[in-house]
Amino acid sequence: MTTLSDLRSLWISAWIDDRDVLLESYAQILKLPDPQRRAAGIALLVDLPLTMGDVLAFKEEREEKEAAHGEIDQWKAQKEN
Amino acid sequence: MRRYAYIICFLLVLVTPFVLRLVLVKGSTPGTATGGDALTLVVVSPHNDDIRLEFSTAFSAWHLKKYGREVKLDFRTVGTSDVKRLIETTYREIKQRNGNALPTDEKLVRSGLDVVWGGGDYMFDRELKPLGVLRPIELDPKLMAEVFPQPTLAGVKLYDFAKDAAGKPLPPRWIGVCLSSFGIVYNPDIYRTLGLAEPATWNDLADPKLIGLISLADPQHSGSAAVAYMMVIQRAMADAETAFLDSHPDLKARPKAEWSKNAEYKEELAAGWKRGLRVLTQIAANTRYFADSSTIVPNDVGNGEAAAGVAIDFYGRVTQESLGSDRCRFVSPRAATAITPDPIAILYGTTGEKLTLANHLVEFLLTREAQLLWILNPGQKGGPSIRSLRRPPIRFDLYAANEIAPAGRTTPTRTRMPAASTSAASG
Repeated sequence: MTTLSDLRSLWISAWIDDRDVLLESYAQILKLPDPQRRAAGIALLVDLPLTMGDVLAFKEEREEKEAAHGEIDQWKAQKEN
Repeated sequence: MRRYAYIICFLLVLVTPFVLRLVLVKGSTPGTATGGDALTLVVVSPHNDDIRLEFSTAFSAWHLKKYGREVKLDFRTVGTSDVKRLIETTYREIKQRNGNALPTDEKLVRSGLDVVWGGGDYMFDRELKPLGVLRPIELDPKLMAEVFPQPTLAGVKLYDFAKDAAGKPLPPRWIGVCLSSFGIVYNPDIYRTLGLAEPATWNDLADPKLIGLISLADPQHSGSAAVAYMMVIQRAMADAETAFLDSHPDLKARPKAEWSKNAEYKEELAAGWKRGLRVLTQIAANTRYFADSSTIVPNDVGNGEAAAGVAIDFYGRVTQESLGSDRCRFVSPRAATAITPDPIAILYGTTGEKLTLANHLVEFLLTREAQLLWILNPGQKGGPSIRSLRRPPIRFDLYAANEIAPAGRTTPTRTRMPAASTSAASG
């Protein structure tokens, strides 16, 4: 469960902030008549440009900041932007 | 004469609602179980009306009987994520007024908040505890040993435990008082209409036929929903681990520490993580909207506003009970949910008799009397007064003693302590 807090900002960005783009693209893909092209389109749409390694590196960096009593809020804001 | 009769009738009609209200409200409003001179504890909580009402009434009666004093719980009720936000904001302001640190003299804190109750172990352990705003809880070690014969359930901590530099156990900063899990709520009627098989796994919510028909809670506002979404990823990672071990049968009998650093294993796990994220994103693409609170999801499903959604077990079960299983059903995805404790903690700055009272509240919540309130039905001895709360208690002995009947039944049955799942991928 240790990656949870790191993923929340990702979800918000992908599902809520970019919601219109996500829904519009999804609707267009589902209109494709060829099932293979449709499946490929969905796979591409939901493949967010982030890996588990990125999240773990982010977490390590945050923990270092916390241990050093750094400005976590400021750092998080910078990262999220 | 007839005219006077009309006037009297009119006055009766006018006054009756006010009289009835006075009679009904007395003793039935959450957090106002006792008189005005009672010592009051301010509790920040995402718990619903039923839980607040049952526990504030029972605690007040228990406290009067055991400690001879009337007490009152004054709830500040917000969603889980807003609980965290409220506490963060309150204590940030206190720190700012005090040179960016909490005052060492707790009497100077004056946060106006005494206790935080509910919101999941993640919030307590990973978000509130690091802020330094949770006080050590002073409980009789005998009570702790009685309630928690073991400190974890399938590797999940049931209360906070740590040791000081000398290896001496420190008092807990949070303690679980009941358990919760997550699952899928769905509307069987809509599923039949769509010609879809009823959902059994998280993946089933990603079916494109469900476009615009899924209801999810916004992870910004609902910490519990965020934990449920994480379970989707945990499941995919656990599947990846199983597949890895199936292709390396020689490793199965070896300790995990030996093979968990294997490069191929790490690669498989990362691929599983990615697959889980893809499923989640497709579920999000099917979503009709993101609700501000996880409690909205089962209602929307039951009302036909959505075909399915992700919900906390007890909200799902309560809705199933109240609306009927044709309109709303709750299912726990097999081996893909987590059983986690729902804790309580005392906030920094709670001092004097309020601190004593806060410790009494924790003590009460761990008593058999309070624990049975979570699981018994209304009408059963020691059960809630209005509706079943439908949450598993945390005391092991209640399961072992075979004395609790799962809500919905009226006779005790053998009930086992729930087992947590998705053991893989805890990182």
